[in-house]
Amino acid sequence: MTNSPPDNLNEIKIGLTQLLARPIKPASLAFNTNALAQTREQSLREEDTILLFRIGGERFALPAKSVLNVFPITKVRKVPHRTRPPFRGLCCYEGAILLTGLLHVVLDMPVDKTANAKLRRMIVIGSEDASWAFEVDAVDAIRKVDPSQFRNAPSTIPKNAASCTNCIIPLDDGDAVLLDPSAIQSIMERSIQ
Amino acid sequence: MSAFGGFDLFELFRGEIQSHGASLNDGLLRLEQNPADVHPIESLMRAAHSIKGASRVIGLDLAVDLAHHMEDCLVNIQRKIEVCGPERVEQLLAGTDMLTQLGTIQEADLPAWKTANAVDINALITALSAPAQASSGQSKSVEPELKVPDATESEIPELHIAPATESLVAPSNPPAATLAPAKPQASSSEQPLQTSEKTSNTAKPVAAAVTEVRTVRVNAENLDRMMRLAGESMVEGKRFPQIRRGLREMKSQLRFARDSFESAVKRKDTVEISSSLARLVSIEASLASHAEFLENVFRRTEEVGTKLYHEVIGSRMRPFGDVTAGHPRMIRDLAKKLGKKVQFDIEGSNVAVDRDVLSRLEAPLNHMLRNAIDHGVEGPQDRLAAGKSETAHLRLQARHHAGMLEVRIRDDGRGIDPERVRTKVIEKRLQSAEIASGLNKVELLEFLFLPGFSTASQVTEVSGRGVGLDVVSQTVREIGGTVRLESQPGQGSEFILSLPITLSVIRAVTVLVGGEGYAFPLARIERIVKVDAASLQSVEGRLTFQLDERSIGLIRANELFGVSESTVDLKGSQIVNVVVLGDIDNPCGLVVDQFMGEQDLVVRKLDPRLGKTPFISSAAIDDEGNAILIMDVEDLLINIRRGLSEGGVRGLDIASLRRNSSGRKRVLVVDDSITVREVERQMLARLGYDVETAVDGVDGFTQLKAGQFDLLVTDVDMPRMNGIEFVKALRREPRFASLPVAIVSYKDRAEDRAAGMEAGANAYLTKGSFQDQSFIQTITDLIGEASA
Repeated sequence: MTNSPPDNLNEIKIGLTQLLARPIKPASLAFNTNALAQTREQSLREEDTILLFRIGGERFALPAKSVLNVFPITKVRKVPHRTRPPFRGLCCYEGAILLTGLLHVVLDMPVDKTANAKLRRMIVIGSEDASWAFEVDAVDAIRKVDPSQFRNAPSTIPKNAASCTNCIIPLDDGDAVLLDPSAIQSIMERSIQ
Repeated sequence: MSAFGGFDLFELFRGEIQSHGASLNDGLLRLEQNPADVHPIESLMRAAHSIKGASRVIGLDLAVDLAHHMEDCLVNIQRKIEVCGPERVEQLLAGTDMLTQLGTIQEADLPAWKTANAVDINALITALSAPAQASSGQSKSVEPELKVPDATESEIPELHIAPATESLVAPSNPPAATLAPAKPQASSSEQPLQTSEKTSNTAKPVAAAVTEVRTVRVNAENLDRMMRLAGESMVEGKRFPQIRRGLREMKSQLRFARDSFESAVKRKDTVEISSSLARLVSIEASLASHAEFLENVFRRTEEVGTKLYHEVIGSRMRPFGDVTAGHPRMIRDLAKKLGKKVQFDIEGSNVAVDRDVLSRLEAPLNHMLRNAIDHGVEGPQDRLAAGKSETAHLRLQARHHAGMLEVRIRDDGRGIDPERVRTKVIEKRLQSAEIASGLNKVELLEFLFLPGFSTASQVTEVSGRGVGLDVVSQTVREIGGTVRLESQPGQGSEFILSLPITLSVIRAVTVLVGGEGYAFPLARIERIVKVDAASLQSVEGRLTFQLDERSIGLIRANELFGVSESTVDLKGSQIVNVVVLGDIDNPCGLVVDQFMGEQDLVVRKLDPRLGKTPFISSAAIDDEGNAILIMDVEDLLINIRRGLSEGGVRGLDIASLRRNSSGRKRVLVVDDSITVREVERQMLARLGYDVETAVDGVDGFTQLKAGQFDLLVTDVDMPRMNGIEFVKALRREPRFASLPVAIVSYKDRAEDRAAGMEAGANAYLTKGSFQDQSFIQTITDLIGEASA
């Protein structure tokens, strides 16, 4: 089956181009963002204690109960033929050999080369027999938060990050993105399959 | 079942059943051999009584009744109310087998066990209640059918052993099920519950979903020592805050003394200066005292840590007797079935062996012992005819020898006739008659370890299918050991196994490859050699060196591992570090960056989520607390051989040694046309570049991984891997993400160009570019002049 182009094709093209090129009003942007924002059920909203940390100049949070350990930066070694990011390698802590990933790759964030090396930490999430460690630029604090204040994440954030982002937590000193630890683990595990 | 002090109660029950079941088996066999000796009876009674008590706690009335009646019998024997005849021993052994099954099943399988065994157990209880019979035939009407286990069945599937003893009784009401794993206490928890078809329909499958709490029996003294050392370690750790406080105090004193001194100097106050100096001297003395204290704490901490480590490792060790406990019974039953008389001796039951080695050893030992009974030893008539005693001797011996566990299984049977083996070798066309005729005895006996090779003239229930010795050999190899066979026709055979004492700790040589640590188990490598680079020889362009009059080909480890370029410049170094792997006939040398030394490494399993990682068997933590990967040498060799034949791996070539020596930039030219390759090579060489060539994408990729290049020039249409696939594959690897790539192809359509650029090329040229300056211009644009 063939479709012949409409006679006024050029006019349509011009119209569409104008439509797409028009400046968006802030009110429209807010409305559309709200309409498209993710509305999935946030099981983690039941959590009210979070661990706040930084990557690439942005602030993120994880439910505190999903965090197994936080420890100073340690050497991460590569594993032959297992080099697909976000898998990074293996690191050791307290006698355990941990799978280590690159959270900034999962979140599609650039590496903050200006971050203070002394503040860098490793965070371990998951369970004792299925954990993942990853490096963050700094660990800020553990906070109690009010789940009723959580906001949906905008739909414009990158795909990987979107699948890890649970919601936005408004805090007195700025927002933090609450991440879904099981989604992070799932993405990291895909890189070694 | 409720948890009990952190343990699953049923798990504890199973452990108790296994332990007392072993005592019952041992004691009953001794009683059978010497019915007049009533000494074992007391321990038998205790064992039966303990099982009764434990079963009561679990609520297993059936087991309580059986154990109770067994205990009654034993009491009668001890009180000499009845004589312990062979029938009674059979009944008691049958009862023991029933009870020891409980030590191998899951809690979820208990209802099925009860259903399947109720009839048998009640029949057995009836038999045990009846007075002991004087004649051997009379008791047969009440004993349940007994099947002797095939202990190796799970490991060596083809070796089926049906009832190894005669069916003692045909019960008036056939049992709903016959449990096969009547193997006594030595059977592992991995032994599946085997039921007849009828029962399997009703019985629940083994509850895979049931979370099994693994428990490990640890010697109580060992545990006490560990607790003591752990406590001491904690106490030592608490001294550090005291040291920290002292150091902080000294720091503030030092600051005060310095301020005082500076102030006194400014004021030229000689009294204050003297006083400040005195304070500094005092601080110095205090510092010395602290340093001594700190030294002691460090020393103690290290001592305690080392002792604790050894205790923990020691807790994994179990006596060799753990794996042999079921053998006397097995030998007895099998010999009886085959109508042979066998005296079986075990030596070295107390020899300590890692529990993992023991568990792997169980199946090979069972097989070799069965083999010895079936084929090795003759029947009484044959033995008498051969001038031997009618009772054959079979000995299982274990000892520590040269840092290894040595296990010997010797029989004084008919031995193996090497000529029969030679004939089989020729019949099975494993060697030509000419070569076979030249094989010596040791070489011929090696054939017995090949799959499917058997000299047995007929297949029996026990062996003769040629299945088994190859599995023995494979299992032993898997745990890093060796097995050999010695035999004298007419005098007997001896299997000699040399095994690591533990799998938890390995002695390994550690090396650096691409800045990362790798460990090669010492038992798996032939040699480590530092080779003088000048002594390397080229054979068809590939470098080799001479070792013990053998030419050893070289392969770069970083190429195999797919890790970053070697940190060692072979040219810059006069020494090439080589780990020699493989067997005598087929050695190969793996070039590593650096030898780090030998270490004892505590082996850790790799996270199972990583799947099978090529060449890597496990991991460990090195002396500096970093993860180190332990090589799977067998897998490495297989991959090297496959890679060499398929072109995925290249031997180290001369160019590798010249690498970077000129300080000139290196270009890899990949094209399947020798003409084009040569044109490009000459053009680039004239410009002063070092040029290497490859014939297709696979070859090119291998060379790139093995070497250090500044530019890749590749064709598109090539066999095996075309240029587009090649460039795409390169770009997926982080180390090649920024390598400049120029595609040179006859294809000059816009879509071809777009495909090349999309794949990740930096430039796309046609082969017409050789006619003008565009090829040369593009190369210099991409990487500059030849000299850096």
